[in-house]
Amino acid sequence: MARLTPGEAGDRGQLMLVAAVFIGVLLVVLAMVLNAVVFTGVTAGRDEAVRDARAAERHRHESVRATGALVAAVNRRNDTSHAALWANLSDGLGDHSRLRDRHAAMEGRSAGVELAGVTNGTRLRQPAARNLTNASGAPTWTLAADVTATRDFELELTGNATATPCSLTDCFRIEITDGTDTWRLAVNQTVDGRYEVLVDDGGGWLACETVDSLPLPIDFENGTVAGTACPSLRFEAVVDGDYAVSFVNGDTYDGTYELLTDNGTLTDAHPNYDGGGPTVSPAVYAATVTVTFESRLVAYRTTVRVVPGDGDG
Amino acid sequence: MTARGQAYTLEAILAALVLIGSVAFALGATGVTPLSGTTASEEATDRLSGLVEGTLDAAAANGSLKPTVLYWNGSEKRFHGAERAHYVSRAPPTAFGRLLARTLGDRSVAFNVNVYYVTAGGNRTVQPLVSHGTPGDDAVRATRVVGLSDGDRVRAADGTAGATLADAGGFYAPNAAPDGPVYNVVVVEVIAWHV
Repeated sequence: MARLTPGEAGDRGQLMLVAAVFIGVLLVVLAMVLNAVVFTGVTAGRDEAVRDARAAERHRHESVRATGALVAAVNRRNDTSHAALWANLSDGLGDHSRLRDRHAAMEGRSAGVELAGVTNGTRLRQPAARNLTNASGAPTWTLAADVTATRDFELELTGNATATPCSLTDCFRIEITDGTDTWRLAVNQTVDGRYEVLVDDGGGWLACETVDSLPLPIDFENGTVAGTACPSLRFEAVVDGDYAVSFVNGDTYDGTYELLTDNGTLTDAHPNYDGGGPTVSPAVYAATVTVTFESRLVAYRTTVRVVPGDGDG
Repeated sequence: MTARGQAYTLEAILAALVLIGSVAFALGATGVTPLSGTTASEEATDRLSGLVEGTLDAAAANGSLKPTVLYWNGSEKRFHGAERAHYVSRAPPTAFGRLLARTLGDRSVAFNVNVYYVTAGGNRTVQPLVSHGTPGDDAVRATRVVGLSDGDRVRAADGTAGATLADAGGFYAPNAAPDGPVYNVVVVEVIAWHV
């Protein structure tokens, strides 16, 4: 074996071996330190950015839900005027945003929502059962015209207003027309005393649902008749642009109804409406909000139009 | 000296091999990974995090989160049927509680649920809902925001709607915005860990 002590020239093998081992260990330690630094600074930061991005998207969904709930609340509480609706909706969103931001601050984030605009609408309703005529007793009348969108439309027939069964020509109908295309719904009485809901979407009358007795609820929002799905209730697929909603032969049944349109010009001064019959009140049809979210790595801002009942936006 | 030439050559070759080997090892070690923990434990934590997030997403989507937050007995100052003000080692008897028990409990995962709310003074405080003890080292956390309005109704023990928040007394969260329809904004936090 070679001697370890330095001696004659050329006797350097041991020194080279030791030096090689030392350099190898040095490189391994350097690699470990580099690994720790890179992981902490880059990879962990990337995970934080992904988490914050997901939190921003969740905040958007939560803001849409909160806005929808607030629109429903102010439509119930503050429907004296469109100005009052706007003010109360704006204040309500401000309260929600302030409280939401308080929670976000605990995680080093900022989250807010602000009202950017509203679509004024009108709520038409007859909450107490009576026949489906207008306030003056006219059996065929237009509930609302110059409408481009309707939501929360529900109708419930609670009783017969005529002694004899009616047929397709003289039974109660709902007609929705844009001047070119017309969608119609009729509630017939069959020979065996049952109540049959028929829909004509332009291709002829089709049976939707038949019930044995009243009350007969029709939910246009969810597309159901007496709880059973009826896809042809989606009249928005037939009419386009401005349309009018009318009742025909409204003196054949008693019932209640409610709908909210995006025409904000209807008022109780019109002879169609009266405190004892169908009434109208100002409402918010839709709201546009600005959603913001900020964290150390993510800044998010978006504008969303919220139509309550249209899903999560 | 010439008699030692072979030994010197072998030593030099050995040194070169050690040097090259250490360089190759160092280059291979530059794959960036955390120094502590194993890949398997990371995957388990990621799976648990996804499970908790998905459970909360499902609860928020089907509307079962808010009724649980409102499942409060104002006269007894506790959640209905709870061992203390909160449930100890069990989920609440609500749809959200059953979802938690089915999703997490069946997988040997313990969880704590807390409800954070804002006080009238603007501070943030917590009302525990479920406690299974101190979370483990591998605990994951997920939150969801629930907005409460004046018209929301507290729930009775059988789940039916009771008085509105504006009228009910003794609810754990105060009306943090008394001038408008907003009552409070709470954050539901779920902390889960493997047992």
